[in-house]
Amino acid sequence: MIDPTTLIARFSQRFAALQGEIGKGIVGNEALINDCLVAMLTQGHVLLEGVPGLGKTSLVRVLSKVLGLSFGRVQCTPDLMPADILGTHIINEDDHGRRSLRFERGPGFRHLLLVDEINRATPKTQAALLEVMQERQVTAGSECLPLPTPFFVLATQNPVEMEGTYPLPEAQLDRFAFKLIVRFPSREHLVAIANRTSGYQEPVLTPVMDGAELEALTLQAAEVAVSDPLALYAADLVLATHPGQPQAPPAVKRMVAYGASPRGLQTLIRTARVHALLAGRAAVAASDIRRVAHAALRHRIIRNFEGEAEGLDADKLIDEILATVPAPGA
Amino acid sequence: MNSPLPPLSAAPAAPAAPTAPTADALSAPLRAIAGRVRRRVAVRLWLALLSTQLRWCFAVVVVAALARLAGAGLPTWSVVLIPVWLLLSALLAWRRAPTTASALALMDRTLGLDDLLLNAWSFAARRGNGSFAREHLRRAAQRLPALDAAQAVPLTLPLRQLGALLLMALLLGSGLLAPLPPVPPALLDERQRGELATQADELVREAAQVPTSALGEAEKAKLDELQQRIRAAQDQARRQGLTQPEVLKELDRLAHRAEDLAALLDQADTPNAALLTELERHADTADLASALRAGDLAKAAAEAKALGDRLERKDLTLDERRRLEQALERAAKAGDGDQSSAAKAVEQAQAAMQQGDAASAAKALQRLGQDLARRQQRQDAAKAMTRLANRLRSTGSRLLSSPAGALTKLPAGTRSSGAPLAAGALPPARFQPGRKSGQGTRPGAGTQAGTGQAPTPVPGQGPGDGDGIPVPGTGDAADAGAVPVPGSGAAGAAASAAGAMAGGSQAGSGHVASSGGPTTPQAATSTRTVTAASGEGHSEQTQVSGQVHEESAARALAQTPLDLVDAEERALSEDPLPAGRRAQVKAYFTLLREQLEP
Repeated sequence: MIDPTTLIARFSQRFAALQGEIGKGIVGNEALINDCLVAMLTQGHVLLEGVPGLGKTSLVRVLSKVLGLSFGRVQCTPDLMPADILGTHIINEDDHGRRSLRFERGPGFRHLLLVDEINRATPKTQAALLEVMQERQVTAGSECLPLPTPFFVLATQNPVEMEGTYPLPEAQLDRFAFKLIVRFPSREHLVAIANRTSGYQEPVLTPVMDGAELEALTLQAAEVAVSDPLALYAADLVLATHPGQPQAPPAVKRMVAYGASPRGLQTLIRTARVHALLAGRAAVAASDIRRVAHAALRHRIIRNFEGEAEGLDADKLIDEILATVPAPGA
Repeated sequence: MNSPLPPLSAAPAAPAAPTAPTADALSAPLRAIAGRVRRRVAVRLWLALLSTQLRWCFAVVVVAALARLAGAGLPTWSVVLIPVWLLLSALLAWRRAPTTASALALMDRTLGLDDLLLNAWSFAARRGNGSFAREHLRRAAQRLPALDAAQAVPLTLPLRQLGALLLMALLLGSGLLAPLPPVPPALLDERQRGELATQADELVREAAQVPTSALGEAEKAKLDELQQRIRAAQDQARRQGLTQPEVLKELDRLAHRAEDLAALLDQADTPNAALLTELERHADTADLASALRAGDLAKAAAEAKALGDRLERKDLTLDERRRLEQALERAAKAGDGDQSSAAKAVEQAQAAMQQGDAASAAKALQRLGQDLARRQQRQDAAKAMTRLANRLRSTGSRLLSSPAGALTKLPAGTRSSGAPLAAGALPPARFQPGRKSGQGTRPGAGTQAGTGQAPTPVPGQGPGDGDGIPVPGTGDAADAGAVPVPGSGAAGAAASAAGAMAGGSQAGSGHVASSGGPTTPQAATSTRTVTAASGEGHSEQTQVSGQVHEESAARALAQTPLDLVDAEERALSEDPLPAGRRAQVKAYFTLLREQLEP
C-alpha cells in the first residue's frame, strides 16, 4: 500500500506537470485551467461561460491533448438534433444483402466532449445530454451503450447573445460540477497571446497522462479524509443557498427561489479534496471548500423574479454566504 | 507522454510510514492544548467584561462619593463586593468560553494551521479512520508539541482598567466612602435637667388643678395616669443620661394624652339652631336660649334651674304658664329629631306641661340645669387639659430653643456658624433688640447710639398715661429693673463693661465682647401694660434685655362695639321691659353681634 505522503507528493507533481503542459497551449487563465483540471479530477463536467474569442474551445482541445483523451466536438445550433450528439440507428446492409439496424455512435462517444454554445441547442437536444452527463451511457432503443471512461462534458456558452438561445434547465445545470467564468485576458496576457498565438502553427503538446492515470488520480483524491466539522460546514454552505433555511442570509431569502442540491455538496467535497491534495494535506480544510464554493454553487442558485429583476450576482451572494456561515468549530 | 515519473500503478510500495499515533493517544494532548486555549479565551472574555462593566462601577463609586458628602455612603464591608463581582464576571466569562473543538478551531485559524487540530480532534474521536485520516493524525501529533496556546490567544493586560479596579478597592476598603457615623443624640446637661425638673414640677401642679368633679371613673383614671406619668417624667428628669429626643418624645406623648382627654371631656351637645331660635322668641326662655347659643353653660344651667324652680314653686300666673307651655310646645316641635340634652329636656317639660304636671316639667328643667352645670365643669376640665397639653409642648420647645438650651459650646470668639466674630460686628438684625420681624418698629427705638432719647410716644398712650415704658436710650430705663436695659446710657455702659449684658449699649445696634464665654441668659426684665387712650383697650409689652421685645394688643378692633352690645344687653336684663319687648331687643342685639363678630 502506498503511503499517503508519497501519494500526496506524486499527485502534486502530476498536477504540476499537467499545468505546465497546458500552459504551453493556453496563455494565462491559470485559475481557469486549474479549476478545469480539479473538476476533471473529480469526474465532473464543466460549463465555461465567456464572450467569444477567449479561447474556451482551444482550452478544451488542449486539455484533451494533454490528458491523452479522445476529443469530440459538437457545435450547437438551433437545428441540432439529439442524434447529432449521441448517434443514431442506421440501416446497414451486409454482404449478403441482409439489412439490419446498426447504431452509429455520435461524437458523444469520446472521452472529452466539447459542446460549443450549448445554450443555442434546443431543450430537446440539451436534454439528450442529461443521461450522458449523469449516467455516462447512451440508451438507444433497447440498447444501453456505455460511454468511454473517463468521460467529461465541457460545454461553453456565450452570456452576451440572448436571441436564439435556450437557457439551460436547472436539471442540466446541476449536472455540471463547475461553472467557470472565462474572463477577458489582461493586457500582459493579450501581449503574450499576440506573441505566441498569432501565427498559424498550433503549439505542439505532449500528453502528460492517459485516462487510466487520470482515473487513478481521481480515486486517490477520493481517499482524502473529510472530518465531520468540515462536512457540516459544507452542508451549512449548501443549506445557506436555500431561502427557507435559517442559515440563509437575508439576500438569499429575498432573491433566491431555490438553492443548491446535494450534487452541489458532493461537488464541494470532491473538489475540496483535490485542493487539499494539491496543498499537500491529508485532510480537507475549510479553505479548500471556500476555494471551490463559487465554481460549484454559482450555477445552482436559481433566482426568483426579484433576483432576476435586480440582476442578482450569484458570486456576490456566495461571498455573503461565506461571510455569514460560521467557520467549522465556531 | 511527458511523464518522467512512472505511473502510480507501477510505483513500488514505499517503506512503511511511521506509525501514526492512536486516536486515543492524541485526544489527551489535543484536549490539553484546547484547555489552555479555552482558559486564555475565558480570561480575555473576562477582561472584556470587566472593561465594559467598569464604567458602571465607577458611576456607583461617584454616586457613593456624592452621597458621602450628604452623610450617607457605602459601608467599609462593601469592598467585599469587588471580589464577588470579579468572581461572577469570571464565571460568566467561563460559561462563554469556547468548547474544545471551537478552541482548536480558533487555534487553527489564528496560527494558519488549515484546520489541522480540528480535523485531528474529529478523527481522534471516530473509529475506522482511513489511511489519509491516520496520516493527518500523524502530522498533527508531530506538530502538536511545538504549538503554543499563548501564540494563538495572546493576552494583554488592560493596565488602565486594573488600575481603576485597584483604586476602587482602595476607596471602598479605606472607608473613605463609608457613611458618616450617626450623630448620637445629645444628652441633656445638668442645667437643662434642672430646668426640666422645674417645668415638670409646674406641670404636676397644673395637672393636679384639673377639676375632676364632673369626670367619670374612666376619665379620672386617665387623668390619674397622666399625672403619674408627669411625675415619672419629673423623676426621670433628675437622672443623667437622658437625651433630647427622649424628652421631646415623652412630652409629646403626654401632650397627646392630655389632648385626647380634653377631646373626651368636651363633647359637643349643642341643640340645633331651630330650637334655639324658637326658644329665643319667647321671653321666658330667651335667656336660656341666648346662653346656650353663646355657649355659656353656667348661665344656661342657672337659667334652666331658675325656670324649673319657678315652675316648681308655682310662681307663674295662668297666662305665664300658658305662655311657657306654648313656648315649650313650639320649641319641642322645632327641635324634633334633635338628640341634645336640651332638646330632650324641652320635650319632656313640654309633655309634662301638656299633662298638667308642672312638677315633672320643673324637674325636667332642673335636671337640664344640672346637666348643663356638669357639662360646664367638664368643659373647664377640658380647657385645663388643653392648657396642660400646650404647656407640655412649650416645655420641650422652650428647653431646646432658649440660650440655656444650647447644646454646643462654641469656641470663644466664633459665630454660631463657626466663623470668628469680628470685634464690633453687628449681630444679625433679627437679634437686634427693639425690632421684631413682621411688626413695625417703634420709631426712634434703637437708632441712636450712646445718647439719651426723649420718651417715644406709644400709639394710644397719652402723656402721663399708663406705666412708664423703658425706652431704649433714656435714663429712665435705669429704674426699670435690676437688669439694665440696653441703650440706657451709663447703666448700659456699665453693664456692658461688666460684660454681663448681651446686645451692646444701644438697642438695635451694638456688639458683645466675644472674648468670654457665652452670655448670661436674661429673663424678661419688664412686662408693661400700656393703657390706651379713650378706653380703647390696653397693650402689653414684654421686654427682655438684649432680646427682641414683643408687643401685642389685647383687644381686637371689633371688640369695642361688641363690648358695647354686651353692656346694652346686660342693661336690658335689668330694666323692667315687657317680656315680648325684651325678646325683640335681644334679637336685635343678637343680629348686631353676628355682624360684628369676625
